Amino acid sequence: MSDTDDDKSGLLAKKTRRKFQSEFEMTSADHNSEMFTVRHSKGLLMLKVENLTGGYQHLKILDNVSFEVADGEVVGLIGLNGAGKSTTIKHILGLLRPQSGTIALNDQNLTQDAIHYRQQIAFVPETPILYPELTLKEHLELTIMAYQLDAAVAWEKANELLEIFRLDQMLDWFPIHFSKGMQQKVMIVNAFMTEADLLIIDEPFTGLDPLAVHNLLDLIAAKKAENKSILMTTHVLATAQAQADRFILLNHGQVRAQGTVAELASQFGVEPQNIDQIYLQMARENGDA
Amino acid sequence: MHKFDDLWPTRRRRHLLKQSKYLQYVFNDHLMIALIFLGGALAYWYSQRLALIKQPVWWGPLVLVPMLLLSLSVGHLATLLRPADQIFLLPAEHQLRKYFDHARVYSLAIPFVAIIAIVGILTPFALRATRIDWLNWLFILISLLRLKDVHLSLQLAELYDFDPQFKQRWTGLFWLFSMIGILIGVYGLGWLFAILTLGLTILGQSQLYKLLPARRLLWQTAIDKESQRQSVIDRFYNLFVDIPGISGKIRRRQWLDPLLHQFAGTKSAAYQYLYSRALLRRTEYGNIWLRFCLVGVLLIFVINQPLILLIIVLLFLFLTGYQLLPLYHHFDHNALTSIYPIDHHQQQRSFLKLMRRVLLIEWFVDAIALVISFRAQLWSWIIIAAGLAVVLIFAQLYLPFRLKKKQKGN
Repeated sequence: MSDTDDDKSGLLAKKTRRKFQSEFEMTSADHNSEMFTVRHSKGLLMLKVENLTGGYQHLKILDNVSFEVADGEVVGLIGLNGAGKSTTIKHILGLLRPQSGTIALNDQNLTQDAIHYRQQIAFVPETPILYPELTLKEHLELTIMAYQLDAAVAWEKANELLEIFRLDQMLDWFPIHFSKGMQQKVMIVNAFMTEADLLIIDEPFTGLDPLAVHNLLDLIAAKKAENKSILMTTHVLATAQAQADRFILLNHGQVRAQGTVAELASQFGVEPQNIDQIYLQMARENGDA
Repeated sequence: MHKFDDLWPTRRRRHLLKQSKYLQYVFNDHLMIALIFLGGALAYWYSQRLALIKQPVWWGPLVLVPMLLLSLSVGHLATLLRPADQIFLLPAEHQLRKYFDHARVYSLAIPFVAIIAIVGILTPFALRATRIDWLNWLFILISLLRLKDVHLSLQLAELYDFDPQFKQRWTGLFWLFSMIGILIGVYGLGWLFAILTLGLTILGQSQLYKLLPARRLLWQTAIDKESQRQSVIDRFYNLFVDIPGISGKIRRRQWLDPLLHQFAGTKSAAYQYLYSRALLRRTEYGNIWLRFCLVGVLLIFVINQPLILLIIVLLFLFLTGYQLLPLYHHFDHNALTSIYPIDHHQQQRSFLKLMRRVLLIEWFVDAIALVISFRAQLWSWIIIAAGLAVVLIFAQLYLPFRLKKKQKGN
């Protein structure tokens, strides 16, 4: 996103938010306790995860995870299977409670005002979550109701999205009977029709046909242009690199590194500057590759 | 290492454990009270009708024959086979004969209880409305028990690769024999029915066991039949408690859309939107409600004893509400409900509102049926007023108390 876009962005409408330094430094400890610095230039701080330790009742998965996502930023959360990506997302969504640490969205956390907190997030899960007893149209109506959207505006947006994903003739169908890819499209339409400031997308490209992947990347770019933030986990790294401003590398429940591809490449000593190579290098360090 | 002979006792033990686990939910206190009331009401109605029969009536045997045939149809062969048996028990197929003998004997328990109970209930009617005497009635009972054993043997034979037409013929002949036997029995020749049944049992079962060893077991058919049988039982239990892997079907039921809007309201809240759709489209909820509405109306038109109708109408309203209680937790395990910015405080409010509307509609349907059936008699108004009181007490007092108790329990 250009500086001009930043200037035009919804900053004015969000005066109450804490002003985020145009350039900030954030430090985090990697698994070797080596300190590193992340720099990026954005407007407002959207999501702030600080020293998050958590997981399931008796199983600690995340250990002191800290990262931030700014307004209009697309951040890729990547790591090997079991690194803690989905667990991190579950914590942000409020499905799991942190054992320690904090998660704030626009300076608000889940305990302060759960409804307002959730209104700021839209989620596209890896495995589609649907209501078997609702038609596609009713899923969209429920989203409008839950997010308290202006019905006319939301339907206009939904219709565009339905057309893009070729679901416009299926409004009276039960999505539970759709294929996995089509169900994923329903989840995408549901999430992208909201006005949520943060979109969390878990493995968005799984099960989608190439045309749908292309359309989704366009939608991500459009959301970015609207100054919305996106946190995305994926294993399709090259595709993600096309849209992601930064990456956070999770390893065994800890943030191993974070930054732009160039920053990560220099940190891992990898050439060419490619997220695939960085990922492989991290796996080699682990002894997994 | 387990012996093959241990297989049946082990499976039967596990099966019984599972049944006892779920039966405690079925026979919970509320349902038992409701059943006692229903049983009492029916017994009273039955005794009143019996008092009207002073001497044998021509239609007596015609009532008895279908009832006794119905008693014979209760119960299926419980083989307790599992899908994996097709692979793991295949080498031991020749040893299955003993296993199936145990299965047949075990499967007799419930049908025997059902037949004895039905014959017991019919006894006063049979002795009054027909010319049958005690002894012949006893012969009929014994014959029915023997025939059930034959019926289960036939069900066992169906699992083997006999010619399908042959199987159909057996089944047809069995029911024909049973019908004729019961008919001659209720016309006073119970002893003849007993002799014929004994002959059939000896002949049929000896033939069957001669033929079976030469036949191949149709594993898939046997496993499918057992799965269907278990699934019927699990679906029944699922009315009372959540059974893993069991969920009702979803039907669009577009014709109920006007009702959907009634239930969901115009300015609907998310939970009410969800509950109304689950109620009308999921068979495990919608069918309960529709069934109670329809059967209620039917009984109102059939029964002309106001006191019994009062009990039945109130009982049906209570049972409808009670059976729909699991709907409250229906969306608890859907992550979308937790992720969406939905006010969870509205969950109970929405549920109560929906239940009130559901029960009021049922009450309204009953009220119309009562006015048509009883005209504007005093009893109609008493039943209608009592029904409304039950709906209001249930929805305003009992339900909030019950949900609070459940939440504490969680």
